[in-house]
Amino acid sequence: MMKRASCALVMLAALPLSSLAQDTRLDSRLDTATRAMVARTLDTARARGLPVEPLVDKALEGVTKRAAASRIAAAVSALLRRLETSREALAPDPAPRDIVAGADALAYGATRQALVTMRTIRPNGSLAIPLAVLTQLVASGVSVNRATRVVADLLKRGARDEQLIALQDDVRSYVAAGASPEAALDVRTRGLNAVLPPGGAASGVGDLSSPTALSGGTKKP
Amino acid sequence: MANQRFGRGMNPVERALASLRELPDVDREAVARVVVAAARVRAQDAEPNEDDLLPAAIEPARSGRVVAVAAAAVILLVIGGGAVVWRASRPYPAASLPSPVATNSPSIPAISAASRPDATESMTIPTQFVYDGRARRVALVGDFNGWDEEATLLVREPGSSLWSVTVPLQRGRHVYAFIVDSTWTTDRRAPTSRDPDFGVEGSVVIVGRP
Repeated sequence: MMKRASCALVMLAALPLSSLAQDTRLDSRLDTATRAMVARTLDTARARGLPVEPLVDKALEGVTKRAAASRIAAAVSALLRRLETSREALAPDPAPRDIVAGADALAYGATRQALVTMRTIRPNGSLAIPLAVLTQLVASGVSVNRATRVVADLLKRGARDEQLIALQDDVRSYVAAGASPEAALDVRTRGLNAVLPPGGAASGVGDLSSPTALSGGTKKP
Repeated sequence: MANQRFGRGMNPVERALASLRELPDVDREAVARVVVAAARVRAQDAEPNEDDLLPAAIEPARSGRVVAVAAAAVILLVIGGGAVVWRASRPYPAASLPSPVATNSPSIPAISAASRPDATESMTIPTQFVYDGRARRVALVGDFNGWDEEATLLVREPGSSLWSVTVPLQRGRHVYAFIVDSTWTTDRRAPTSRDPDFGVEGSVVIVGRP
């Protein structure tokens, strides 16, 4: 019995997931044509070893937001490309959450090189929070270049994730109260700098101020 | 009989697949219950290589319970269309389980917490959502519950206009909204997020450590 169950498990694990995995949530919420388009993208993601769940979520998000089928399929495809870019930029072995956070940042205008820089500064730990803060700073109105430079610099100086979250919260509060996003970020960064060791210690991140490294422009959400 | 039906000319893999296809359908609620039960056992048996599905299940010295879980997993792989493998390998195990499980079962997050060296990084964190306003029904939708309007309902505080629900979330940035009496509503106390894909603004929460 034990042998048989183990054997069946091994054989099933050897199968391509696409032949087994049909997400019931998609079955019940997408029409046939959209489901087929999304399924092709999911198969591609599986074949490339990319996380599939964010793609399913994106399709479901489109359904809940009453988006047209073509738009849902396009959004899922676009996310697939961002996930791939993110994984490559965060190499060698990024966690799925980091890949997703990187894809979010890319959607808001962060560059591939910005993600590479973050990985260089924090080669082993999770980048989900720093990338989330970067994304949200841009969403608050801070330019991509400025937000990337500040988050990278704070990371380089050893800022903890909680400090980055607090920074983002405060910037948002100041912006809501009428301050300009860049001024709010400057003020809070000065406050955080006061409690962090001096920067410039990390190696391999000298390209932070390079216009070619951070060429995301000043795109706003 | 079974040999006849599944064909003597098939190789072992084809024969196993053919036999598995013969299994009957099972309703989704039952599948979800078994997934949760299997997940709990996995959490209790968590080892450093928890990310790998197979090693614990095929190790010969394992107890009968592991075999039972493995057998259940095999059945689920077939009747659930691969849902077990998919869920076990996905980054957000707790939040996308059926809602009653996700919101009421604090033991589920331990699966991911035990699976990596940076256990706290993978831990889910109970996160409360509050809506203030008159309504007949308030639901929470977001990237943590499949944007399902039926999955996570807020409960009204008796005698007040405050509605709330607490959901375990992975660390990171999450986009969400309230569906208030069928109307998409952002959380006015949270930052908003533009939506480059569908053009419908949502609210954002960045979840850190508890």
